[in-house]
Amino acid sequence: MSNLETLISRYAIGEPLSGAEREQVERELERGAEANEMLATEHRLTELLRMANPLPAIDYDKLAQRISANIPQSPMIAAKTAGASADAMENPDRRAIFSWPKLALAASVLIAAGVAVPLLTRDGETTSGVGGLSSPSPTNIAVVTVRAVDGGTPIAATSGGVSTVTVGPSRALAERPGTVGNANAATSRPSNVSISGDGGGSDNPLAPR
Amino acid sequence: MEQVANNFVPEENSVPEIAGRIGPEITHPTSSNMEAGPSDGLLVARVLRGERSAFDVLIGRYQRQAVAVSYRLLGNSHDALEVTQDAFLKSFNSLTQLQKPEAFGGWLMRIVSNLSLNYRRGRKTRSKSQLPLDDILTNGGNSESAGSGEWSTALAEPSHVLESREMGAKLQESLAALPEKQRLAILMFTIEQMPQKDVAEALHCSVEAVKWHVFQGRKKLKEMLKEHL
Repeated sequence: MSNLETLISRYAIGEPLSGAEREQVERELERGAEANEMLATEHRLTELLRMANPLPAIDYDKLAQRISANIPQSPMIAAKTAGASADAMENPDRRAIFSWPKLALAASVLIAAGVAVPLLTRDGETTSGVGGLSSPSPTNIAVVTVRAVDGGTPIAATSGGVSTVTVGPSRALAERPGTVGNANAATSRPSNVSISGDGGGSDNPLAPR
Repeated sequence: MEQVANNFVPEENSVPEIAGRIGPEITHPTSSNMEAGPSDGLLVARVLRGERSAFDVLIGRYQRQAVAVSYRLLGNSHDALEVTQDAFLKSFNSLTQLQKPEAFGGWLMRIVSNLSLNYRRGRKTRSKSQLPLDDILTNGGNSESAGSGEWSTALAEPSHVLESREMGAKLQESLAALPEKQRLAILMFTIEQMPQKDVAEALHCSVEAVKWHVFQGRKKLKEMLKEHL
């Protein structure tokens, strides 16, 4: 395809030509039969394409009725979109607020915040316990007297009764209160049960002394 | 054959896109956006609000174009009517996904062309439509070859009679040999005279790409049909 043929083809289908190109085409069309024959070929191709395959005769009123009958009459789409989408369609600014990319971005920020806040709290040596369970100090819950029993026969305590039982977080937790806030389990299941006798110091009152 | 080709005397008035119109975008006089009435965007918004009757206006506005595009891709009026019905139903059910309501026409044509191409690929394994469509085809749809499902070379106006079936077959063979986008671009822009922006929407490409596809497709067609032009 020559340059002139290309130009005339572009001219024929409405491609934008530069000023110089357009001048060249018009000059050639005025001057020579060759350019006019090329343009006529373009016309014939268009004519051929449009005329060779006519549409069948169709009753479009009936077709419209048929198509319409296949479409649900109930406002299905309105129910799906609950009015907001219709408004959004007419108001692009509002639609932009609820666009999927923005929703996805917002969700990402929330997830990131959910992960970051506990981590920052942990590093910050601050504790805000839940229901007092995070108290780093052992809690004295009872003062009891224990007597060991074997086969129903009382055994006399050898060094007096156990006097105190303390329940609370382990010593390590007590020394690092910043970690307590991260897991309620650490406070609700204390690792430290301390049972001591009157002047003893043994955790096991039944242990031989 | 030569005689048939010589019968094609170009008429300037019948080729609106050639008639001295040069510019960044061409809009054919028959394009839908020149019709009176509410815009496509407004009609789509009404449908989304639940005003079902607004969709009937869209059906009336685009049904002929949908049938034409489908028919020219499938070559069979029954199939084209079935695809057209499916396309409108799918567009109704997917209307909330339409990003640009004012581009409904191009979007619908994309659905039509995709359904048509899928239909054609699966036609051999599909049974005949059970829908009663014969009453829609007036005169039995006899612009097609009788019952063959083949393209016809008959013409709507006697003054432009194209006598040779061989010529029509050659044209279809040439169109079918084009890459899909070039074929669709020529079908929608040159034959159906859709606005370039609607064709761009239908082909999911830019207006510049539409011009390129049309140009390249025509170049190949001229080569393939040079004996008849």
